[in-house]
Amino acid sequence: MKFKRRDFLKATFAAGAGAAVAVPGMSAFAAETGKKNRVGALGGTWKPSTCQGCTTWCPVEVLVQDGRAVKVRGNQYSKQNDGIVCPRGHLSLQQLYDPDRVKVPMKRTNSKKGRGVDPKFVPISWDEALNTIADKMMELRNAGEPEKYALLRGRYAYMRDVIYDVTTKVFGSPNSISHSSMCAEAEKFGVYYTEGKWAYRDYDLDNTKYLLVWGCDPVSSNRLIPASIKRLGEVLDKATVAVVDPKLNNTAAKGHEWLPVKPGTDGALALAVAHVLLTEGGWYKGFVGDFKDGKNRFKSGISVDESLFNEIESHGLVKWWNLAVKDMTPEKAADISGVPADQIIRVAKGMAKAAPNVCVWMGPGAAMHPRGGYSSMAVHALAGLIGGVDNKGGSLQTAKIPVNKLNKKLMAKFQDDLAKKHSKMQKIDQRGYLNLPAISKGKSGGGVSTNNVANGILEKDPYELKMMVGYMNNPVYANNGTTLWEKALEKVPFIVHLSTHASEFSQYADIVLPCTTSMFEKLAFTKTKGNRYATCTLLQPVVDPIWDVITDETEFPFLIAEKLKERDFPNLYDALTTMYVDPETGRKAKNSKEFTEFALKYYTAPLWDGKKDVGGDKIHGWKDMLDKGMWNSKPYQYKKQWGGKFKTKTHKFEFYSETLKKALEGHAKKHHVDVDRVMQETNYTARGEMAFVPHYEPPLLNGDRKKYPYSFIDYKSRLNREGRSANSPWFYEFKHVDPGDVGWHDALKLNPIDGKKLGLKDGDNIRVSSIGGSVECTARLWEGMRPGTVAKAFGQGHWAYGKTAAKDYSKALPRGGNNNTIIPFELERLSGSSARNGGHALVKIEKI
Amino acid sequence: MRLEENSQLIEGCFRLLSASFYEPDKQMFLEENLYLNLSDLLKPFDLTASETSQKMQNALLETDEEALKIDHAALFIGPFEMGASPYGSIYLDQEQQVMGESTFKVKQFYQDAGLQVNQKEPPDHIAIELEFMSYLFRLEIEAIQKRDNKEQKKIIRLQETFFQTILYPWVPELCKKIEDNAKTDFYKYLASILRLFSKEMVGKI
Repeated sequence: MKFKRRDFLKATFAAGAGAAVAVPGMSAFAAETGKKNRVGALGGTWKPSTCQGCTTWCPVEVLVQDGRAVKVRGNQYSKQNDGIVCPRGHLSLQQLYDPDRVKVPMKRTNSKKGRGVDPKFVPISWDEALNTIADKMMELRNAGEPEKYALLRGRYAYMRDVIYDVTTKVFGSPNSISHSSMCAEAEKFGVYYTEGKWAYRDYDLDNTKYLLVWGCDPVSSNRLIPASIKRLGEVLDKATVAVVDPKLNNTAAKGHEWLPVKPGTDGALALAVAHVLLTEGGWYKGFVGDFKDGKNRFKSGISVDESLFNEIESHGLVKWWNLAVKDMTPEKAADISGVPADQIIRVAKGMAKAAPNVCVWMGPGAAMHPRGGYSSMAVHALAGLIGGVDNKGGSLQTAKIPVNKLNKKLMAKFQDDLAKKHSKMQKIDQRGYLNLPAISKGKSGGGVSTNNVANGILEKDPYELKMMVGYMNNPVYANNGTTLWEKALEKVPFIVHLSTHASEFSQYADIVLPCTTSMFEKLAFTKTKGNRYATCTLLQPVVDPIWDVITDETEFPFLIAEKLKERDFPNLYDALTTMYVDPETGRKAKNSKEFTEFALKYYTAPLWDGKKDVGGDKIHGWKDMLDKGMWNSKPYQYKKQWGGKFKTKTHKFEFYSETLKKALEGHAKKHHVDVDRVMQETNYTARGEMAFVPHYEPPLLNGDRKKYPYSFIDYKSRLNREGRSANSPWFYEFKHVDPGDVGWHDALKLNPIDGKKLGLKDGDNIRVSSIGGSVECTARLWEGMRPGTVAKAFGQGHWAYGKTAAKDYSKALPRGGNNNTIIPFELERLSGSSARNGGHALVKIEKI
Repeated sequence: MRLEENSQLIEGCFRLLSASFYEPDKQMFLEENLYLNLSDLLKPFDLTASETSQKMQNALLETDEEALKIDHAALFIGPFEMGASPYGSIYLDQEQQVMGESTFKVKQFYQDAGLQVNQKEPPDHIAIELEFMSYLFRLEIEAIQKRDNKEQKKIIRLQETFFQTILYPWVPELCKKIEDNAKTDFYKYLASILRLFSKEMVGKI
């Protein structure tokens, strides 16, 4: 708080009784203006916004009483969540009203950076903060090196274009770095190189007859949570639910089959299911096709002549069989994966019986392994084999959301020569290097490798990074291999962190800027889907912010653009004010708040301006859009990609991926090597044709089993709000809602058999160590873990955070342990993903 | 009934204590003789507090403004865990969040007094509550000057209720946190003064 007036400090005692007192003005108060209802007199109003506690991105409504948010429910118009939210929605209130939020702009006064080193932050004015940042940016431009600026985005909304694309590219840097590869790019990889779609899927739970959940827990995390919670009961009644996960997750606890797979062996298990489906004639012939004479020649271990098979919607089935499936019998897979052969057979037969209304629901647990690209393909190939791809009761693509796109052509007009040239330079994450193809959507270096930014910084390859702006992110906590990031961030001379909460990343920041919470204070939009409906939903400021915050994606760029203009670089200001005029009046924004509104109107205009019938909900103008807060599409039509419309090279569902072959050959050619060399450089064992089909790769492990006997796996709590609920007391109080977990503890779950071996009992304090690092937590003996594997929920172990999340900030002592310290740095290199699953972290457990 | 002079002293104490929780402005504090004045104001109530205020003036002289700002931020702003959260709800409500149930009681008091907060902070920030107390004493002085006994009584009741049910219940704990976590003598002294003065006021308000 700053003084509004100096006379507030005057003493008045000298005046004496009866004398006329020069009354000092008030500092924190003003006379109440207008007639207002007494606080607490009214019941409140439901106001629409969007929950970003996970990537479901639920349209919600917030009950606001006297300017205070008190309750959350789903948006009553939503066909995606049917007007309900999961526990995360309610938990969000404790993020909004967290006393430890960033309240004002702050700068560090201690130039030394590091873990446990107090940055000695002090408050500064917005003007000082923005001037400092603009000066640093101009230094880079004046030195002809704008590429040394990087923007790292975390939890974004779709106004991201402004800060991520326009600001970075008009300034002249290639380094707009997304967090996507920390999430589940390896999962998208499997889908893209079979089905041709680089995206997460929707799932038709209402019509499924067999739900195979693989490496995720739809009722607690992943992307369709409220819809799954509502529907799982019905699905259990009318369909079979089978869950592949080394840990008994919420869905598995309710399901009919739990397949406790050994971490990292998902590929073998998937191939064995395929093996049964093919040898038993259980594949869906309406999608895959059949032998020309109708006689099944898929016999274990025996190659088949490709010419005898006639495929319909798919490509390369027989090649796949010959290369990767024919020898993966259920018995062999049982040896590798630990899932009994009879269970594999039972599940495969159950799927065959339910075909094609089979939903193969793949999550990151099946894919985000060091060698997970192919297990991801293998699991998704099952969806193709059984005909559940883009089909009733199966996995679906999504209806279009007809919002406006970033006008790249117009943007380019504001790039000067320096910006044009330098924004095309190699990015700091080394994507596209020989050992890091990151072949998103078929293009070498087309995807991001967020975790590898740390290596780029440390190796100064492709160049030294001098300035980093990060928003709603915490890479030094959220990437596996936290010590690497700690070293890297110490090397970056100037860091700006835009956030609601200070975290480990702020510990390395030179300036921390307070931002709006996405659900209650931000104005923006997101695109989402569920139950066959695509949805555009607005994030709206349903309450007035308590503290002096800005909106990261739009206000920050506008405010910086003003400062750069003062420094004779008007391009960004001109770009923003020209690209995002008010679509209704054609007016240019005069301030950052107006700019935010105009930009949002620009993007969403087709949904409400009435110029064109875009289908779905009818929205009558901007005010109606704000009042409803969302738009629903028409339901997605099944089989839209069938009939040769898959976006693969062959336009078919590819069991032999011509699309991947082209991509890998393209990458190899770029580096003047062959595909085998690419496989070698990316840690894969496949050679020759095997590189182009879903196949089994033995898991890559970090650590010697003799020293580190247990496989460690990470999972997400149903209370984890994208890593941002760590300072909310409810996160700890209600921790027991995750099966096997204990309130107020960070519990490592291990099977009682392992507990006995280690001499551990429930509640013992333990140290968990890998080659990456050690953390301390609590032992929990629990039958829901497969023996030999141990698990802990992500989300605790903050050493720099608020009073609830960190045990003692001043001593850098965490509450619980960070899983990303246990899991060493590792990538799935074909997609660029962080390898955070697959049990590659081997650990030892000691009682302390 | 309280004398006008007493009310003036108390008004001044609450106001200068309130000012002490704002971001420190060393030069302005020195120019205004803030803690010498506070020392004088406190004298009739608590000699130790008055002496501590003089020490505070010395601490102010001897401490860099940056050190004061760093300590002030670490105690009352963040951005990480605050050494002594300045919000009443953290001490009074089970949830320990801002804008809690107790915050709304505070807001009602302000509203009933025809005021609204014009700082970007929750209404139960210690500086704002202390200023509200000083405001209530200013109202009392006005009533005394108008010789409006009825009004004075009404205001005294308001002072009592606000002090005893809103402000005082959390001040000792706040002071303890400041004393435990402050790195500078300046803020340790502030805690000591606030503790002594508010304790003294328990019998007077």
